[in-house]
Amino acid sequence: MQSTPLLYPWLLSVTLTFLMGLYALRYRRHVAAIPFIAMCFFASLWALCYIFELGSTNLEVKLWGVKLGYIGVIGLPLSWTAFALAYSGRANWLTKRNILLALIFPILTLIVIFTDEYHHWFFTETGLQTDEVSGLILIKNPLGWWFWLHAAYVYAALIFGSYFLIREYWEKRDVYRSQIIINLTAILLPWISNGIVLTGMLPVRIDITSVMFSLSVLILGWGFLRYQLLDILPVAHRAVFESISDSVIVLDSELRIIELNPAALEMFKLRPNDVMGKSFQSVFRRWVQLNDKALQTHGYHREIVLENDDEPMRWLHLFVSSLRSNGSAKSEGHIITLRDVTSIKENEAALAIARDEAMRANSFKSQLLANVSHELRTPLGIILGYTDLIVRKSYGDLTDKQVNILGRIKDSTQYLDGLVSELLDQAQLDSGKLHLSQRSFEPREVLGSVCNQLSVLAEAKNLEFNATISDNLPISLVGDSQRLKQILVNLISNAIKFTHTGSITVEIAALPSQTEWMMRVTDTGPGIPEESLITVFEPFKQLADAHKSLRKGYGLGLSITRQLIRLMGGNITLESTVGKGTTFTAILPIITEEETSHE
Amino acid sequence: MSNPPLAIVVEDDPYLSEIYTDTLRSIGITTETFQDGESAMQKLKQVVPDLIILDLNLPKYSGVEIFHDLRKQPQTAETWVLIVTANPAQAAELSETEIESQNLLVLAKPISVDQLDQLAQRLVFQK
Repeated sequence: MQSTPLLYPWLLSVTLTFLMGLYALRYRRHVAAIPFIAMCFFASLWALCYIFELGSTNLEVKLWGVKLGYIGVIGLPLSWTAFALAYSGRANWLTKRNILLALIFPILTLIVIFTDEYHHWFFTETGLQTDEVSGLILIKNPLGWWFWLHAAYVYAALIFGSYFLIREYWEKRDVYRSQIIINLTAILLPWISNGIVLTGMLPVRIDITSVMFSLSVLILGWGFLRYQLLDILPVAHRAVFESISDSVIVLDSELRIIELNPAALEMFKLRPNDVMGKSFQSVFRRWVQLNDKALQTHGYHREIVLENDDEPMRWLHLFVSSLRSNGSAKSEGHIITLRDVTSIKENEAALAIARDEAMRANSFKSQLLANVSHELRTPLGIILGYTDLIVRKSYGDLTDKQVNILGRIKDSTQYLDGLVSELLDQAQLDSGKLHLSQRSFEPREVLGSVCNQLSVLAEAKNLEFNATISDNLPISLVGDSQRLKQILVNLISNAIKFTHTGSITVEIAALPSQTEWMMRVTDTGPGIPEESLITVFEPFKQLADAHKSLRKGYGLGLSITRQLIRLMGGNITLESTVGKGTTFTAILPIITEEETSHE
Repeated sequence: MSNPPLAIVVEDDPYLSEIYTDTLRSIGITTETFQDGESAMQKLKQVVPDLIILDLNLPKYSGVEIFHDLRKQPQTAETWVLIVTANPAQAAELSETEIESQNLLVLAKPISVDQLDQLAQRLVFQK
């Protein structure tokens, strides 16, 4: 054995390329990863064998190092070529058949190498020699004719792979270029050094090619980590570019078209030869009027209308982005993206039409409701009027039974009349035509009279009726007294309607804040189950048992009551315990004469 | 005793006219009914009633126009008018001052016999 610091680079090469190969295994599903992993292990093997070749002083060992090392020597460039093909999108060439064909000659070469002592085609002789400069004992193996065949084959493979990488380089115009440069540098490095070794330009007669190859593999590996070469293959980008449905047009810094994708050609009915190298403005003038500045503005966007002969009009969204190399401030070109937004536009238009139609239908509904309600009022008036007159015996005597029945007719008609009023209110609320008056009124008088009138109804049902109007309420308020009366009537008459025994309590008072006042109606009725609390205020939502009687529904009453209160800037809340009773509390803002005069 | 009080009813629905007439008669008010504004207005140029019951939705000559003309005519400028309408929104054609003016009530149909009875008693006999 001979030990020399010259061995250190090879030791390092063996270790690092082996580790790199192990690391790259995690990407093994990737089409370009397998050749790369092979490169790593071939480089490692080659460097390891060279250590035996250089480190040993025994000819037999040195020779085996050389021979085994040739597995790496041959495998490395071939796997690099495979890598270059996969990387430039030609992985489909790497079929089993092609690989076997490509391996015929290298396998023959290996056979020749391992049987060299019988024919000396590869090495004309083998022996030991001492290097004058380093004093190391080296193998002496002058190269035979088969070696040069082998060299020609390997170089041809490398040139083949490089050709596709260089082509890929010209087709890419941005960050991918730097990746390809890394690949090319990585591969040129060992072959330049190999050239140096072969031409005998190196002072020490040792072969540094395997170290250079290891360095090359490490550079490629660094490229993977740095640029994630395996993650963003140029070919993937090309596939996206070509299959994306958006039109993409690439311009150089002079705004000439240097690339457009099939979608763009199809969209504008263009042929590549007619537009390549022409200025964007001259080609697209027909469809889009843009100044140069807009084309150079990163993030510029606008909508354009596309009209081709015999085709319906289309709307496109145009977007400009600038192409910049890593870290460069200067724009090297521009990408124009055009997206067809016709269907979105059409949907928007359809939605607008549908919305207008819905609004028309709604307004028609409100109008219909108003008209029908008006038409109902006259016949209702006639029924009520004649019923009253008959009951008054204006048209002759009646039996008690007849009076009784007429009373039922009148009740039902009044219920219908109430419903008509509510429908009219609802129609007005829906169409926004319900206007509240803002007049001064005295709440004590207006609301007190409501309580008085309704107390009669409560007493008729043997219900206790308590109404208090607090002194803290301002003497005079501003608002719509008719509508406030309607609200209070609704709350109290509902309470009377649903309560069979007990009491009705009405409290009207200002809240301590003196900015709001309340009308609170509490009954001892059956209460409202929790699940119905939310729906009580919805139109025509009634409690299950309320269905039994025509006149027991909440109908529109509570719904309108809440809408009116909200229109007045207030709110209504409800508390109820089944079996105990219900409390409705309407809270309204206090508006006084002084406040309105300030406005 | 002077002539019984007179009410003019302008209502295009004959049944409602009859109900108003029968109700008012029961409390001692004579009525004359008209089914359109034109004929009612002709009559109102000759007589000054104690009460006018006016529908708003009338053929040819609308209730609002009749009301305007009544108020322009000195002899009927202060006569009590009960507007009974199926569509109180139509009353919006009257100006705010007109609505707030003396001797006018706007009521929504239907009005009950009792309501009319009480109002007429108050307006005609307790002037």
